[in-house]
Amino acid sequence: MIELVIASSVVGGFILALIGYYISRLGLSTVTFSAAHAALAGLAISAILNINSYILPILLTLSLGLVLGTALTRVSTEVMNNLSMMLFTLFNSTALIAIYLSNTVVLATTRVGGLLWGSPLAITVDRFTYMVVLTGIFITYLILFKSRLDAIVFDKRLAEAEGINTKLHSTVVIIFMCFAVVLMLEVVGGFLVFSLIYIPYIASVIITSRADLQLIISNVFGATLTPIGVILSLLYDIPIGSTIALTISSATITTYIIKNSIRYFRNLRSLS
Amino acid sequence: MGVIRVELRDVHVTYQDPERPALKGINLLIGKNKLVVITGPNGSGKTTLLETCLGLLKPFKGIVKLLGTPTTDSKIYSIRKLCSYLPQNFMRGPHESYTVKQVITMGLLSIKNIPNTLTNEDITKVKNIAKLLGIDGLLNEPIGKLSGGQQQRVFLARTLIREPLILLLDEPFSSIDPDGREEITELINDYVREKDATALIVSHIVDKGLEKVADAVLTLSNGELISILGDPY
Repeated sequence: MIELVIASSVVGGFILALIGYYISRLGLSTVTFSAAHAALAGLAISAILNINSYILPILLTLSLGLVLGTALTRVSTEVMNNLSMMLFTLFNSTALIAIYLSNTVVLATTRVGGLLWGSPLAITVDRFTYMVVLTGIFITYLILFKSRLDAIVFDKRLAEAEGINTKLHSTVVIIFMCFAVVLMLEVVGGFLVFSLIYIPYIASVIITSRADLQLIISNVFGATLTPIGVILSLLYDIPIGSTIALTISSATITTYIIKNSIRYFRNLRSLS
Repeated sequence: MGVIRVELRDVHVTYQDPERPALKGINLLIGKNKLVVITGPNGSGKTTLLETCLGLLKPFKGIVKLLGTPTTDSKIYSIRKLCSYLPQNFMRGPHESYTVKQVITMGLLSIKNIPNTLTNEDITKVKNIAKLLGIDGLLNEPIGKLSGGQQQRVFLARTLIREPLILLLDEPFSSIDPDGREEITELINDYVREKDATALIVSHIVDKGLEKVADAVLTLSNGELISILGDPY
């Protein structure tokens, strides 16, 4: 069981960081908030109805991904952010009401615990297999279309002018993100799953200014710090999602402090 | 009857306010082996015209055809692969992480079929075009660390490496010094003549060098095409 939990956290941390790199660079971070909470609402309703925990979250988060993806080229970034945050609030409140309305027996289950702060018990062989398959499909997509995605990331309007369907590729990335979020939601918890998407990217930006290295570093961050968070959570018996998020955030802040200290001392040395 | 590369028939474009159209009733035919300069004061609709030709902006009235295909057609993505665009707002901040080489190859890879990787021939092409524009020593530098003039040369390299049938250049000399301006005008003109291409150059200043090589100079004012000097078709 422990091997499965660690392996899943490596794969989950890697795929969320990989997709997160493109989501962050495409300026779609707010879409992640709403997608995570759409999945959370779907999962909460599934818990009340005692139905399969994948179908409703996937349906809700995919519908949201498609709606926001369709709107991408029609509205400004500001309108997109406002729309995403409004949907985030809507789904978050739906999720909380669904949890509140559920009876105490349901509330006591690990399923609802996983919903809010994550649970290693949510990791099953099935879930791990889905994660591996999703990772494989996304890497294949990247092998085929990385140059297109890079062009969009660099300049969306220029990419569109050069014959790249920017809306299609951005929507595809959003859909991958939706699936990844649904798969990791019960492991990390609905309130923190999106932190695995954007924090590794932030860390990579702190470390290097080169795009190709940022992609590698954010994946290394996600794939190493997620299992470290899981191990710490199991060792100290604290919520898994919060521990992973805290581990990644602490590592990022530490990186920032080290990087700036090095720069400060280098400047001091050059002055003397 | 020559080959029509760009065709606009009674084209009207608006942004927000339908009462104040950015382009009003533009009729224009542009042929091959033509270098056409579009000029006019700020806000006259020069950039709007260029973006409308590419189908980035949709007219609320009229027809725009690029290489014979309406810009509203789903095939427009394939047609755009035969064109190159240099945007007016090209400047990147110091945090931009892509290198000069990556920026130039993005333009090349987007016209290739997938899976697309760089061949040795492509790498040679990148080096040659960079040398031609005097940026061969900067290929591994992040573009954000370059000056405005150097960045503009990188974007020009990206447009030319695609070997397009149509070049759409929005203020391509805005950050280039006077000597460089002459050199780049010559480079674009040579490209048009050698490849039988078409170039639409937006420039609010039409200097002697540009005037000498241009087949036509179009002047826009308040969204209207008020004069056509020369023959764009």
